[in-house]
Amino acid sequence: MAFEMFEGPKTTTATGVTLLSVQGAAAKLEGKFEISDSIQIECEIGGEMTIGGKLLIGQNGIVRADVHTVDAVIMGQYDGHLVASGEVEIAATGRVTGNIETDSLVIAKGGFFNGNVVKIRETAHSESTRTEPAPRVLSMLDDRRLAAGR
Amino acid sequence: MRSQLSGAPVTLLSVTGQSAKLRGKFDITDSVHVECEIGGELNVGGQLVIGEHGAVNATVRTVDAIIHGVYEGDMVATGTIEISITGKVTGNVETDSLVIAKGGFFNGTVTKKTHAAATAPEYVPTERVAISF
Repeated sequence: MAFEMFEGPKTTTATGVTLLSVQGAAAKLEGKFEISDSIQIECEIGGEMTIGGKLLIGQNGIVRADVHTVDAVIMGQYDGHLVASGEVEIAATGRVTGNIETDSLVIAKGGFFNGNVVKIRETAHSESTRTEPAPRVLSMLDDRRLAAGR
Repeated sequence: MRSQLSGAPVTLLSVTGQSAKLRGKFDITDSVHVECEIGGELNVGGQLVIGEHGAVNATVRTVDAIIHGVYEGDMVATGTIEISITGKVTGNVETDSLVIAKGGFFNGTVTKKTHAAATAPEYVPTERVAISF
């Protein structure tokens, strides 16, 4: 199911070209990764990752890295510090150890999580208090404008 | 190659999008297809394919290599290295079999693996010196 979720946005982006594909029985990568869109992992990866789209750790994936991403779906093993500006989903087969910084965390039944969760918006809130209520008011105004326009 | 025994090759990693930059040490038992930027060290147990958009600046140990993109560094291949029309290679290459297509670019040195093995038993004179003692 989650694979289909991954497939969905990939096909909508016209520029979703496969940049790298590793095939075989086993692979171990270690280093610094900068990826503009998404990555699907079914092998071992360590180091540091910056992802502009979605990180998908498959059932056979083992990731020991500090990750900055938008969305993350974890069906395998993850160990490290994860910062996600979007959503983090730990599937039933997912095992996560470490800290997660996100606004939205979903842990499926059976999913394993050991660590801390920090809300990004809360930390931003403590730094600059005035930005917090602004988006809501704007969206309400937009709704009213839309209603008035029709 | 191991994957051929166990059936269809499994995709272990796939990166999609517009750009990606990877740097580090990569150990891959079978094959890898690169259409992005990679630096560091690559150990490939099967085939390394550098696509037209691929740029690899790394020390590579592989069996076979097909280069359609840009490669820079030292490469050791136990099998065949193929530089296609669009391929640009700078650096040192160690292999038994190098194919460069017309239009393909290669700047560097080539060392034949078997040739290196043939020149290896040059210890004979030193042994003779030992005998003269």
